[in-house]
Amino acid sequence: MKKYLFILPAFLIVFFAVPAVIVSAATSTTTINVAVASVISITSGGTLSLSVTPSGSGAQTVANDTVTVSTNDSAGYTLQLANSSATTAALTSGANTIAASAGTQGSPVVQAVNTWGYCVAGIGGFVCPSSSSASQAISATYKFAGTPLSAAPNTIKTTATTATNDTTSVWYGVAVDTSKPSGTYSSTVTYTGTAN
Amino acid sequence: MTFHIKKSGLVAVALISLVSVLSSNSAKAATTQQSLTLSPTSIVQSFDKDSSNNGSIQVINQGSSAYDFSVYATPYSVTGEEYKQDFSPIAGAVNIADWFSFPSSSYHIEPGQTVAVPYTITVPSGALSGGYYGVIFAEVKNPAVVNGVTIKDRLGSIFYLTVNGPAVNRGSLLSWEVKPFQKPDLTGYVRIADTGTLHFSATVNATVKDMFGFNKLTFTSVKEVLPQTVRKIPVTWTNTPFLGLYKISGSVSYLGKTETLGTKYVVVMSMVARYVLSGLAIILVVILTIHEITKFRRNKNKSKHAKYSKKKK
Repeated sequence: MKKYLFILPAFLIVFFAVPAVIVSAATSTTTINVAVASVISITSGGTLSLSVTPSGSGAQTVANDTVTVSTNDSAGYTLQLANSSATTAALTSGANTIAASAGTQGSPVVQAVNTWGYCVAGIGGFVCPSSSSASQAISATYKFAGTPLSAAPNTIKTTATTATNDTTSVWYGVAVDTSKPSGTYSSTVTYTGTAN
Repeated sequence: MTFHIKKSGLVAVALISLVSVLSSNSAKAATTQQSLTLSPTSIVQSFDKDSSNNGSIQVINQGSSAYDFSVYATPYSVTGEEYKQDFSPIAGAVNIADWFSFPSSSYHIEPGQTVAVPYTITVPSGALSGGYYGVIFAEVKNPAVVNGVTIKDRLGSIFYLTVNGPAVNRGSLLSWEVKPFQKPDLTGYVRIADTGTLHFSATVNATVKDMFGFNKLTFTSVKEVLPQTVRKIPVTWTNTPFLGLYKISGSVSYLGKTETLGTKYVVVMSMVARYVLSGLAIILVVILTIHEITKFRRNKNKSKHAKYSKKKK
């Protein structure tokens, strides 16, 4: 009986140690390199309706569009706003126009009658609405700027590092009185997003 | 009964009409969301004169609606230390947009789809050696609205191109600026100058620690610095607490060298915290003043009383 006692350790060696040696002999190192591409994405409303029923002293409608930007680029991103036109920033309806606000990003102004403009809280001297409203008396508080022409966009946000669903609320306002012919007035604004 | 039904119907129609009129007069926010994604955000490439290279950028639609988009190239330049981006041609300078060509300038993309946009860059034989900079834009083509504002989104992939040949790679760290008293968000600035003829990338690493040595922020940012410009790179701790004393330090690596950004101490205090502290200081001064006045009067009374007692004696 005793002479068969070696069978148990031999069995254990064959079934556990030897495969382990074989496995370790067959092991090789694989380095996995993963290249993560840089991306930037932008989401916005696409269109914004600004309807206003004018009054003698002027009525104002304000509404906002939310621009959402994400990027995994550690340089961050820059978001710019400009009118798509190189020649006019006015809202147009055939030959009729609603002029762009005389304010600028650095010096926005209270909306004058028969003008339209944009406002981004926290930059320049903007004072923006907090909620949408239609055909109300012109606010003496809110300060708007005209949308710049395409060649000279305004920077509305710059970040220093990566961003996830970073939102920027862009307010648009239009103020008209009854001297403005009725009609459908429109303009196009371009948001440009680039990594820094 | 018939009359009542007719009457109710009329009221309902009137109400619906009223609601329609009111809603048509209200300011409407955008109803559809479009999503445009572009990859990569930048490309760094070297070319020999009179050579060309093919590549592609990826446009991804992560939104829920299909749209058309256009692609085109523009020059890329910057102004000021904040690097305000400019995509307009500069008079007298090479318009790098002419080096780019596309098999198609317009594409259609469905939700969830990725479209590879091929491009070819051809460097003319007469190009001088040095750095050249451009952008490929992908721009959503939205149908124009008749009443209001049509929004167009566009994203750019920046190209940092080098035309091989004699060039100077030179730059220096100008300054590391951190104001000792700040409002949130805590921000420092690294200013780097490129005095050569080629761009280079600068990697800024920074850490913000509190006074107990606990790490509050680890910041890394890689930025390209263009020739003959100074770039002011912000180091920002977003959502800094409204009150605190912190130390910020780090390093900047560029052109194969690493320079240390020395430790700076910063007191961060929001406006609210400033008002509260100012209020507390004023209250403290008032209490101390009252205390001193009371003490003075008490001493005066005591001395009066002592005088009177002396006289009486």
